Amino acid sequence: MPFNDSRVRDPRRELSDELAGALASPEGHGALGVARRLQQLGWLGAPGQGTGEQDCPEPVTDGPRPISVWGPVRRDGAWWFERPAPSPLGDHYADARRFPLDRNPGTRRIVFLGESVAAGYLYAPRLTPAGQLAEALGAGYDVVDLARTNERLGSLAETVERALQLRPEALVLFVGNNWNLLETPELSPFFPSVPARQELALALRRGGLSGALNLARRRRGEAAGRTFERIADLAAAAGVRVVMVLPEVDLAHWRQRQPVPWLPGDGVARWYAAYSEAEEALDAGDPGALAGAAERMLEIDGGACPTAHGLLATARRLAGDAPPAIRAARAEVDAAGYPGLCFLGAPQVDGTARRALLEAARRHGFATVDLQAIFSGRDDGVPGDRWFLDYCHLTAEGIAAVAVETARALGAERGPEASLSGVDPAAEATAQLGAAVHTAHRLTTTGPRRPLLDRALGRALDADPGVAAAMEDLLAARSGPGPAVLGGAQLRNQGSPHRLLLQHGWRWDHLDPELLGALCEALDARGHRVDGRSVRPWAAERLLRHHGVTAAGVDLTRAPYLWDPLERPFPEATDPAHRPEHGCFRAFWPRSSFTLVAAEGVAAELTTTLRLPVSYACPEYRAEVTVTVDGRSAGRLPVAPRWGRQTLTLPPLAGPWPLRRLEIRWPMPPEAVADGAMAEAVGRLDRGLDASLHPCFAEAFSILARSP
Amino acid sequence: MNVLGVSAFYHESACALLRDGQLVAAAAEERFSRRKHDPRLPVAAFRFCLDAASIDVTDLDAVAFYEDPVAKLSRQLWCGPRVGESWDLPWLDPGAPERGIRERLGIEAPLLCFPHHRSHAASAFFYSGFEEAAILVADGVGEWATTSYGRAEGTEIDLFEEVSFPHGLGLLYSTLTGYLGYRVNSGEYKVMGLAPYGEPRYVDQVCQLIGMGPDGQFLLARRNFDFIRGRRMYSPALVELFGRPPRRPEDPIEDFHRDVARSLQLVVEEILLEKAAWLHRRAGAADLCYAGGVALNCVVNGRLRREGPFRRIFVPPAPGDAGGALGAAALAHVELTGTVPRREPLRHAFYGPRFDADIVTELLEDTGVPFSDFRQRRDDLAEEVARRLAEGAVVAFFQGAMELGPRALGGRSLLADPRRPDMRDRMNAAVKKREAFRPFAPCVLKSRAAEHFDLDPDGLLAPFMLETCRVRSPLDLPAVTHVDGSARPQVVDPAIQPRFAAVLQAFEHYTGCPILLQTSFNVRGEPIVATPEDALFCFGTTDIDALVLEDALIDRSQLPDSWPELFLAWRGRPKPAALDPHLYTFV
Repeated sequence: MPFNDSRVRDPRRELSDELAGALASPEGHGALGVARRLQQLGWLGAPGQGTGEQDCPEPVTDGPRPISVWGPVRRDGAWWFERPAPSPLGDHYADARRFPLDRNPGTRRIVFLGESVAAGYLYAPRLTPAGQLAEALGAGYDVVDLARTNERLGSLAETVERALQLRPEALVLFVGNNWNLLETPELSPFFPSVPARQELALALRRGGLSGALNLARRRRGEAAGRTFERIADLAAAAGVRVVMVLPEVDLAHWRQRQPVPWLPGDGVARWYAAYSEAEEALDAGDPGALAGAAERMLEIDGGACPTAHGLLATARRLAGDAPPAIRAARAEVDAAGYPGLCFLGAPQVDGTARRALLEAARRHGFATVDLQAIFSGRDDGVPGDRWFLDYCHLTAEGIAAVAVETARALGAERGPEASLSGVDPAAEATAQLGAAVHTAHRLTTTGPRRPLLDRALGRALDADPGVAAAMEDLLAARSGPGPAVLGGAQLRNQGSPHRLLLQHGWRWDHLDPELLGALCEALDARGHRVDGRSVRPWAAERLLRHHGVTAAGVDLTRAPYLWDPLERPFPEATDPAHRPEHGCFRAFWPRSSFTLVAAEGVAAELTTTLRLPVSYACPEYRAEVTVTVDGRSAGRLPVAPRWGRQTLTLPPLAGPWPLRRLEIRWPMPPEAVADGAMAEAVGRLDRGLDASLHPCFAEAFSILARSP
Repeated sequence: MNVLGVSAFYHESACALLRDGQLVAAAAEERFSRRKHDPRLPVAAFRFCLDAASIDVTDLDAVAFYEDPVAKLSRQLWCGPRVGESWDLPWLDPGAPERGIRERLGIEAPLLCFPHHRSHAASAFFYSGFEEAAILVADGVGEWATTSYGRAEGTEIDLFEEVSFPHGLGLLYSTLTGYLGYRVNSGEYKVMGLAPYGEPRYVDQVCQLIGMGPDGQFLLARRNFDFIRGRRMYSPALVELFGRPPRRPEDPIEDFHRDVARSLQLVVEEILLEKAAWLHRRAGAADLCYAGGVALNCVVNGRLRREGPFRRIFVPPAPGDAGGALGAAALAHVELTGTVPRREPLRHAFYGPRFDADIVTELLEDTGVPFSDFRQRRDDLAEEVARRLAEGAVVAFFQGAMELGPRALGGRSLLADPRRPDMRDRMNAAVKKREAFRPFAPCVLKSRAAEHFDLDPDGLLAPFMLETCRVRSPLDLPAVTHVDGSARPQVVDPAIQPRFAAVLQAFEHYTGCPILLQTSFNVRGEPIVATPEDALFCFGTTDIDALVLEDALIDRSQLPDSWPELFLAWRGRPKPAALDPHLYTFV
């Protein structure tokens, strides 16, 4: 081979060097942003195709095609669908191990599809809507349960298409709760796609946060329309009826609490001032003051943030005004589109989803079972814990109502819910315990969370006192030195009639101190003993042993010490491996709480490395943070836009319970920063970078708690 | 002075911390994220390094990034986007490394960026203990250079010659790795292991792929390659040249594949020997410092040591991209202080996380699984482990700090008796599940190494398992001897690894054999274990007979039957490797 020395001058490389240097300059960076916007608008094309290999078409087979996780197998000359055995910690799919391709002659087959609510989340597999529907329909019906937690529109349509191989008489679709969270992940400032970020920037520039929310709503509505169009076509071609169950959600207790996005001037400070007033009014049980504060928040944020709607709903409910409470709660759910954009929220059916479902039913002639109408017809007040375990998952009574009404919609004449076999006490107790874990960990609520926890745990123990052993297992797992799955409590619980699955929060490894406190009190109140003594001192001893402050120090900014683990941006809060996106804790609320585990009388030393956001720019900018422990003042620390390390000795800790709430209150952002913050965030998105649409009040590199 | 080195956004991201020029901590992000070859910003490795040094972000005096983002962008622009990709990628952004370091790691200290090959060179020279040395760097590509030659002395590294992209030995090796049906970016060592089974029948064809030039130069015949714009590294011309279609991963391995592997390996060895001879003359130095991903080819390294012109050769334990963090940190130290970062050679690789035996015992007590506690009788533990190994057990050995680099060297290792003919199959069946042709490596007591292996036990490659050599042992060692009579031993020095050496000594006492089979403690597709929890997960889902976790010994028979299923449900299946299996990662 003739040699052509690679050291000789390469004009292409010289030009590449020149362009790289230019792009690395501030001007070049700006030019790159413009080029990306041109591309976003379709005016700057992508390069053509190279010599890549072509994708292979899907192989054609003669037999049936898989339905979701159920694959076709041939047994004794007949086709069956079988799924892999569920894991011992549960999974997202219905428990039915197998069902035949061909239904028994003389039976009428119904295929039941939907999301976690349809799958009987927290009760499954012992109680499911499909199982209850089968009872409600009675003999002569065969109900195939294909419900799936985390079902999305795309997979729903695909499952429907495959399910038609079963030649059902009817399909029951119970969907709509997941769309606000799962259907538009690309409209998030954290979604790792440059074009998606630019699209979000465009929407924000054109219409502010409402513009982005409206884009998400429009997109969800269109996706739902397309999906139901496809399902309707498939069903019509197969001569299959469709029944839609329209979801309803808990509007009484669950709140979609989110921080307020950037507001110009002193908007953020005023909003949080009103929020503090609302919290005080809530503590004082003063619905008038609460409503006033919530309305001020709405004025400031323009209604884009769900928190204020939620507070207003609570105020109206406390005042006994059900219709306005329901209106405010629905506005809260509608405004919560941006948990998907920024912070984790609850999956709940919103107005967009409901309209899409009703429109599809009207257009395609689907029958409907409207839970909103059914529940409100039986309750005068705000739909709440009679029907719901949590934000959207149904109680046994709620499930029974769905079953009976759906059976009716399918043409079966059946009696009331009471005629169904219902739920066994162990399943009821386990579901209530799971609801308590969700309440403590999964979502934040406006107002004290403890009454919700106490009620759920009380109901669990009332349903089946034997659930106390599972509660003890949960306490042991959370207070242990390693992940729950490695602990002896895991093995004990595996053999329990109250077996806790991933859906019950078994995997979550934050301390969730309010839950642990509530568990101890509930168990002690019922006289439960561990190793011959009451629960609280036993749990306290474990917590101190495995999580207590040491001379070497415990960094409270890390799992499991975050008091509210989900008060973090969406990607961090949803990463099960807790892999941090950032090397430090970022405060997206003006108050951050951490769990300090220490014995009574200890005067722990706190070494903090904190800074205000670097966007505060001026290095001379100074402020102070205040530190409290269980509400008692512990001191003040200076902070600046550069890291600073400070040490504070906490006053001796009072009270025997070792889980202490260490709270830091951060200063509000300067107005000059707030004025340009949203524009700066949009600018970053334009350049394809992630951005925060919400104030980050401060960063904590570490908060090291040491015993003296 | 605390200097943090960072490598990221390429192959394996990593962090390393130098305090006053001494290496305090270093680890790759993949060990924490549990995603093999994780290239993301090393957030967890960063926190680990600071914790290990008992400092926080305010104590950092400088941060060093291991490549020049603008020069890399130039090469990316030169390449253009690949098929199916647009320009609109985050990589078209030379500000990304600094932004990540400032915004996501929160580092305020001054940032210094060093060229990729300079970082590699420094990762070898400044940790070699040499006063002066010739420098050789060979890898896939960094910014532009794919092979660099130079000379280092004191604080100076002069890279006087380079071969530029798209010509490179690493690229050639990766291309044929893909052609032979293995994953590019990670399967290269399988080709190296396959080579001894073949004959060099395709040397002519391989030589048509690369042309030798003057000095350090060579060129790839580009019509055979498609890695700049395509989705595979080879072009139809290369397929035509070899006369056979590329092997698909699931296809059987035939003589043809073995012969191509052998031919490739031989050609690369010969080229590097020739270029090393030129480098020796040009640099005028007696010793060689060698780094870059190609330096993981331990067969080449062995030949360089035995047949090459250099008196001593130093290859760092992490010669690939993870090691770039060490080099960048050392360069920053030199730039800021004007002094060399360290004088002593790096004698071990134990710079990762370590765990207190009492903490481990607490964890084990909470599992409820019976275990033997050797905290008060550590000598007995070595005896017990050796006895079990002599009886044929596979023992997982987790003690002390985790190793830096891709090799397990006694901190996170699986051990077995190398004399048993069935041990390779048993190890594969129990845990490793890897290709039957791939050999396992031995580890040997330093005082016995020369009796059994044709290598210099005082050599600088020996502690890091970076050299193959002829087995000359009077013992029959079928489980660690490759088909060509070679092995890749680690020499264990009791002065550095007393507890690991004690196991070897006890094993010799039982069997007369001072050698053990050693392989990394992980299952296929997962990074080597880092924490006691990782170790329990791996132990619980494999058929390893016993686990040494610091001072505790757990027998497989004591494990709950339900653990494998529970662990699978908890952890899920291994995450797919972060790198493209078909194309060398250029971005």
